[in-house]
Amino acid sequence: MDKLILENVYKNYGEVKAVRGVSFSMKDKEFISIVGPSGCGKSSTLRMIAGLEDITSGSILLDSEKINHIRARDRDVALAFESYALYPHLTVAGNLSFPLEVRGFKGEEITEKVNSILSLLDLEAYMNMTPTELSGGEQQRVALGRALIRGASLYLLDEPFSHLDAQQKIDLRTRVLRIQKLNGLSVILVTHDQLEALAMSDRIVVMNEGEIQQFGTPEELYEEPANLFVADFIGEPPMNFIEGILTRTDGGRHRLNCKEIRFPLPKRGGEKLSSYVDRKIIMGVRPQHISLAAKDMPGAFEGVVFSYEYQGEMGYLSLDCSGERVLIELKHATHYETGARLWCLFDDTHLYLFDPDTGERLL
Amino acid sequence: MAKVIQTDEKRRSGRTIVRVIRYVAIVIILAVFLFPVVFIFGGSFKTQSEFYDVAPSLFPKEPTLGNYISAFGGEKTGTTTGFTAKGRLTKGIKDSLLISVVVTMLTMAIAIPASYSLARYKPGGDQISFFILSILFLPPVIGVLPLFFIFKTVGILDTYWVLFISHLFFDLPFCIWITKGFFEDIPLELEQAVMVDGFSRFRVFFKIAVPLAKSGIAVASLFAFIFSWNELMFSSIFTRSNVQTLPLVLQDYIGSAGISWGELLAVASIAAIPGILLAIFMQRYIVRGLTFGAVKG
Repeated sequence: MDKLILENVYKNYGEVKAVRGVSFSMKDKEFISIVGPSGCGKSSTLRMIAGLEDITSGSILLDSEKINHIRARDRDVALAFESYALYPHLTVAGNLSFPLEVRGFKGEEITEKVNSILSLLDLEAYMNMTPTELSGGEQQRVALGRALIRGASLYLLDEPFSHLDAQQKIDLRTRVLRIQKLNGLSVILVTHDQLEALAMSDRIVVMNEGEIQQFGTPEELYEEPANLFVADFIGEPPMNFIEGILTRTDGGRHRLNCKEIRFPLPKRGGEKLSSYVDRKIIMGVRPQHISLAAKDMPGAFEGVVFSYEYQGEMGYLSLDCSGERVLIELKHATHYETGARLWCLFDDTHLYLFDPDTGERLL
Repeated sequence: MAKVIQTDEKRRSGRTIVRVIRYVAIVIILAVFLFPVVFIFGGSFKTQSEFYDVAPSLFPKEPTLGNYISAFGGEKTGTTTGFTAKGRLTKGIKDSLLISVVVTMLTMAIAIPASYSLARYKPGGDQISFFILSILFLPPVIGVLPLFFIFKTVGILDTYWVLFISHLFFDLPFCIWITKGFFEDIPLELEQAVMVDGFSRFRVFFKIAVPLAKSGIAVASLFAFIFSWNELMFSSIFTRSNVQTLPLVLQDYIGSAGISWGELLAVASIAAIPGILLAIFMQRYIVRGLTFGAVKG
């Protein structure tokens, strides 16, 4: 059974169309992330699910019940706010027990739950402090705890890790994921951090300008991006994009003619590509799928080292290939002199081609 | 080296001059503000004849409680002109207290929900808020004539009701204006969090918004009380003998036969007490209130 279904949901703020025709469904006990750049409509979508914003049109179903007009407090959803929204006049423990008291839980049960959340989020030392005495990261953990403490049908987390330092972020991510898996919680996470989404989610909704760009598993988004936006947004470091004119050789193979280099393209996807012959297209290749090669390897092209970043296990090599800047991820890090001449090779099983106007993926 | 010391000394003497100027300025400002207070309070302990001394003094030469005793209608010390009826002052205090307390409660009972709704729902856009604020700019005197005829028609002149209602008219805009700023300071997401947690709008209002805006509510109540306590114009026009507020009683000491200075200042000292006490007890809220709430508007 589907936990939550969004059908063609729109949200307008006056003239501004924040969310445009969003539809997706999530299964029970699933962890879904909504990612996208600022202003893509992800928070508005979350707030509509929570009942804090009216829906301009479309419908939202939670546990098979249409909840468009059900008030936030009757929806059985828990929400962690990015701005924390902690009650300033209550202590940490008071903030955590508040949602339980409102729902009619009694003394011992409350203490037990509060204590387990405090230890889970490493907040025991702060339980008698008020929010003003805590740092941003600590407040954020309390906000997260307040959302997780009560048994809701659906948990909504709005950027719950944004104010934590890198170490805490990774630590808390694993803890939250563990609670979610052990207790079978249905969670929607809103984040601008695609790595966070990839690391935590069963499936991801990628949004841009109020519309869903792609909805799929982390692997699908990474391996098979639906369009130029998803290809660019998902993956760290980002994909290399090279613009050129598509041509066809006498032998029937496709080639991409850039400023000075000609890249031979794989034989796949012939039909769709034929209509793009002599037109501008964009080729994408991830830094992981470029390797250094010997000069005489077929398809190898020359580049000059623009910069090299050493990062321990791996290194990032930026090559200037006749005017095209290409980033390469190298597994075995050695040192490369700026200005040195190297040869590299694209892994043509991992090449992506896009229409530059529509962003549609061609290959 | 010598040069360095010289400039150092110069700088130091420059600093001393600045400090002296600062203290002189403080003394002048304090003198201006404190003179009336000292005059009233000191004068209340003087004998009537002392007010006519050719070299007037700030402090009484022979301090006496006689003015206070005679103001309350006790044995006169023989120095006053004494044209107030016995018990007038007691009635003045009682009436003023009753009117100020009731008006404050009525004002806040209306102002708190009204300002919350203005802050959160913005009915009528910015226009209504501005309209309410603009009433503050009206001189109260232009309301007097129409109100007089309305109250006369309704038949409530010279009753407590006439002052409850007329004070409310001018307390409300100010109190709404102050508390509105405080409600606007409460983050919207805080209230939304409580609603997601299961509170209704009414419980959010009573359990979250009101407690968080308590500084503003305290300040507004204080002002409402003091406005009412000090108010003279409405009281003198809308009432006659049935209702006698303290400022009216105070006015009576300035008679055609002369001014009863000693009693006047004694009553004035008494009249000033509630304001001073409230200001001391609520100092914390007032500073916060005037800097946060009121400035925002």
